[in-house]
Amino acid sequence: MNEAADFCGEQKIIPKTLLTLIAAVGLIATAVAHWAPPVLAPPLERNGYGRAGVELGSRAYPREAIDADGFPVRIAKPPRRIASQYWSIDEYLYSLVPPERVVAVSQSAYLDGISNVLEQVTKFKPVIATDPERVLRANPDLIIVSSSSRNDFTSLIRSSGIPIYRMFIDFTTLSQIEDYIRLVGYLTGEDDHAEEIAAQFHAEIEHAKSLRRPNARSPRVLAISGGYTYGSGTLFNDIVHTIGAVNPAAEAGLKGYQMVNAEQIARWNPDWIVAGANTGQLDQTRQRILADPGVTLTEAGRSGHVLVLENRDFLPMSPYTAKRMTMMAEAFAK
Amino acid sequence: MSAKLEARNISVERGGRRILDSATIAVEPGKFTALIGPNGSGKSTLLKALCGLWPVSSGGVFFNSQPIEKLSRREIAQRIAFVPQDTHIDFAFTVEEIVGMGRHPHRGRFAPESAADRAAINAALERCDVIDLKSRAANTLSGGERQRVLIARSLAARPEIILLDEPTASLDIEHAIEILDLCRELAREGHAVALAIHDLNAVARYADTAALINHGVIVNIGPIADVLNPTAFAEVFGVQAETLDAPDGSRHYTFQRLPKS
Amino acid sequence: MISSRRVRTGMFYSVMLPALLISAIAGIAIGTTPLAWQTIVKVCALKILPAAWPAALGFDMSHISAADQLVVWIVRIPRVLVAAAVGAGLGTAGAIMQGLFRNPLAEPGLMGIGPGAALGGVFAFVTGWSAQSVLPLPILAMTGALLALALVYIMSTRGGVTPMATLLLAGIATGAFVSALTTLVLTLNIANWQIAQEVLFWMMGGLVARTWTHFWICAPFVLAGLAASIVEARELDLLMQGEEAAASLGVNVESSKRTLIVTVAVLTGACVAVAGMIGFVGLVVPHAVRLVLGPSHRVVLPGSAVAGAVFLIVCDMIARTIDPPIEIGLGVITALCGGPFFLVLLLRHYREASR
Repeated sequence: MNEAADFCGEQKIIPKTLLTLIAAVGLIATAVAHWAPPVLAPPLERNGYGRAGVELGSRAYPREAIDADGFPVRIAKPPRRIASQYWSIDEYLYSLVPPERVVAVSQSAYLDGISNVLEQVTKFKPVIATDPERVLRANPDLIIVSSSSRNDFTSLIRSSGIPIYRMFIDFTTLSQIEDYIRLVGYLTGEDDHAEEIAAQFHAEIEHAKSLRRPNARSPRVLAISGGYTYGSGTLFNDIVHTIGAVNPAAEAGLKGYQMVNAEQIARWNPDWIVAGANTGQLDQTRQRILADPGVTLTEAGRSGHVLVLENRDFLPMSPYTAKRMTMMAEAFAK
Repeated sequence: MSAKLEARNISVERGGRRILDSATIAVEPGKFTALIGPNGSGKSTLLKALCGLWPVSSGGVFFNSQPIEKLSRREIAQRIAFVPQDTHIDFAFTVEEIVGMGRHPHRGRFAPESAADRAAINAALERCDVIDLKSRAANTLSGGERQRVLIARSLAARPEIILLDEPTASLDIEHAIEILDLCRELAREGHAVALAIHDLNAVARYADTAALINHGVIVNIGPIADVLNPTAFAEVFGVQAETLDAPDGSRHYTFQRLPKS
Repeated sequence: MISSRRVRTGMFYSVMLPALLISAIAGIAIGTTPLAWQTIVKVCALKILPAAWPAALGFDMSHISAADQLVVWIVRIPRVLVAAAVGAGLGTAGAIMQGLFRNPLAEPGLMGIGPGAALGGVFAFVTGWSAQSVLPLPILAMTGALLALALVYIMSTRGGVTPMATLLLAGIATGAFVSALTTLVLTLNIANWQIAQEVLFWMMGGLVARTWTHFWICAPFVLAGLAASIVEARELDLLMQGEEAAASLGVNVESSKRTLIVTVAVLTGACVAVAGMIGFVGLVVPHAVRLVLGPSHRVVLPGSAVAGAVFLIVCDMIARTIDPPIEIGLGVITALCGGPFFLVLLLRHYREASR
């Protein structure tokens, strides 16, 4: 009647040796996952393109460029129908190529509150690149996606033969943006125009630097964005550093985009607080920040030095970054 | 049919316990052998060891003087049938499909049903009086009907030896008698039939030979009259019996518990 | 009499095979951009037939753009084919599991294979190998599945004998353990939101951006698994009578079980490898097929494959069309469709059993 008992009798289900083996494997797996050597870490954590600066190949066609995955992307002739899927890349494209050539953009390009390219997309109506079909329908001859886009999509397009370039987008320095202006120019065949825009970008950096009053104390500038701040290794940090200011979060050892609480804000005592807000909410945001208990204890709070920028100026990591840098430099110079 | 199945001095161990100890028994053609003993005495184990379902830790089981380990499961199944005690079926196989499974030892892997298969299945259905049930789903049958179907399944293989584990345990009187009559017929036809069974009166009525098993040891083996005696009743079963010899020559027992000493 | 309600196999296939064809065509015809069915047929002709035939057959190829070809041949057709293959694989695996465990509630997830495949997949994401090409993910998922099976099998087999009760316990325990490991690996990498997002999509199950490569990875294993299971179909019927009964009828019980368990692992591993974790297909489809066709595995196994393919193609269509262009996770749809359906089946079963 009791078949299971008949067949297995009174045996131990898991012998001790097997249990030890399982525990050992579990511990080793945990150790590996935690202290994974760099070669195992995903490419994103390594600095973007893995080499010092962007290497551009020869200007003759067919051109070849290595993308953020290490894939060589081959562009047979100057692209005339370019697809983007990411808001930063939209901004690069519209800065560099004639707008009619952009055939697909990210969803944010059409959003009034934060888009920097609303005028162009309203006029030329590129498709919104949400899925493979829509992108393919636009008949692109070059697709640029972010390095944070889904792998599946990239693999699918690669199998179609259309050149797809996975671009690094987690910029942490202004010089990277400058380099990538040239890279996008190379990819899209707009090398000369890219050189112009890069030079312009560089000039704006120099201008922003020059706004710093000599012999003045370096202002302490803290970003506050939805309870988070930018520490070292971020673009914001590089901007602050470039215009001659100090980032108290980086000073305190914070790395990357991290949470910040009232106590830290008070302790770090910034002279200026910078934040972003949607269109029409700048005043509101400013009042909210000034009312924050930590902020009231700071120099910035006391003197009302809270700079709230529109999100479309505060967020970009593209040629449009220059605007933010200039606005900040001008504010601190007063 | 001349097949002889015998166990020579076999012991069976499970989980460090010795369930059967030095058992020797032969199941012979034309004979109805009963294995009797209290619960847990090792009757089922002995039957299963005899058809090679359970490995023995010492001694050997021999089929026609050949060690049973040398035969494949298929070869064994072609000649020795085992009807298990548990008749529970959860799935809606039809009676015909289940009896058809009894032909498995004789069928090639992809062979469709042959005429011989069909004949054997129908014969088995008739024999066990379940032919009217053949399109019924097995999980809608009563206990007695299921038992008959399982026996039909075993018979479909046209075995020479049939081992049954408590076939009457959950049956009402009519069906119990039906099964026992069938077993006796099969024995008369020349099959070797062995049953593990509780009902000592049935044993007295139907069996030719009996093996009395207690705590894994065959205490006594031989003709019914020898095995069923007051000592056996008292020492093995803990009961005493009043014997009644009927005019037709059959012997009946009325049991009661031993008085406390 | 339940058996009289059994549908003849012929009738079943005369409904199911057209259903498969129709759902496949519908699946190819439906997408985020409009596509005329004539275009679909022409593209197929272009790709499948030798070069001169389409013109010779009178097809007008002039309006077929490169985009049309790409959308049909690279986006839509592989997706439907993968849906069919995965549905067939999971349906078959479920049928085998229900036979092996003699329990209509069994399903492929019980042996810890799904979580093993998931861990392999997560490993592919976390190391960044999945970004290099489309192959590392399915390969690591299959490896994970087979390793999990090996672990479960070793834990539950003593002296060549694998009791199903022990196998079940070992499977559940391994599944829990491996799931915990997966969560651990995820937690250690949670800062990298891209990985978290990829893993989440994969674990919800989905057929977004499936390519021909995915199909060629999955289909051979599904075919091999289906073939292996049909070869063992009669043994599976016998095993369902009880292991002792099967052995007494000439079945090599342990060897058959081993073959069937490995088949389930291969089927499940291949399906999870290309489509993520999709549940309910392996539970509901064989159960329904058995109710319609009866329990004999000769018919239940291929029937579950075909019905599973149809079920998954239809669920994928639903996932795509509820709220375009957002795609609802496929595992969510199979659960939403499968769950109530399963309840109905259970209620019917109990109503009949109590009669």
